[in-house]
Amino acid sequence: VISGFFDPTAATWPAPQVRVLVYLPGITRGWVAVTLLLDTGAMSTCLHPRDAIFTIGIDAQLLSEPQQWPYHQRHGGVGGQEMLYYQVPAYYGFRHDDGRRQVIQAGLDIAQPHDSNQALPSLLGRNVLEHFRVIVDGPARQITLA
Amino acid sequence: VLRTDVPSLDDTDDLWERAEQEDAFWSQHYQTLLAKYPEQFVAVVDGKVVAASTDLQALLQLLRAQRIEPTQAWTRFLTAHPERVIL
Repeated sequence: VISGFFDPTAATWPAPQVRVLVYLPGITRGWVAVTLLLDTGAMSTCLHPRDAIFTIGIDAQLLSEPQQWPYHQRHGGVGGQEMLYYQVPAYYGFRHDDGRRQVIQAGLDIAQPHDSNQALPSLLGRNVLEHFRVIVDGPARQITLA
Repeated sequence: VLRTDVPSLDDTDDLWERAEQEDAFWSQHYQTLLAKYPEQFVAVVDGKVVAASTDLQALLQLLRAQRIEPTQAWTRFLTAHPERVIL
């Protein structure tokens, strides 16, 4: 069982989040911790600019240049706005409550920086969540991946 | 199939602890910092605000001017009035 948490600082309502380690071959030198918003509506896990630049350490200039990334694709949100994302292979590290560690291999989408996505949270999407039974217990304020 | 060069998770306790410390910091100080830096990105190093800006690129420049690597700082966007995003 992996326990997430509700972010108490979210301005409108507590946001369900999970701490994850990510390893991006060719991009990171090792594991990097990042906190992701649990989003069962997102097809893929993604990093938005704040985390991509300040947490993972990807060069901001590099992120602004699609030609530097072999695979990229526009993704639409529910609101219809499309943004460019770079697809990279990734490994996700989880820590179970009993101390056991688990690695999952899945893709990661990294957003091209844009005025509209600067403050967006990074998302833990279905390409990773499909490996778990996801329990969001709002009244008890508990998040569980099992 | 997992690559054989994927780093081990065995020696990552410090990463988990640092992430927990960061989340605890924001939980404890978010409201105070929000009052000082509303609607801004804030970068914190060793518990102290080292840069703040409404723009992420500007924040990056402020850190670079102090020779602070972006990953050295804990960074958040502080807002009391977020857009209601549907992701």
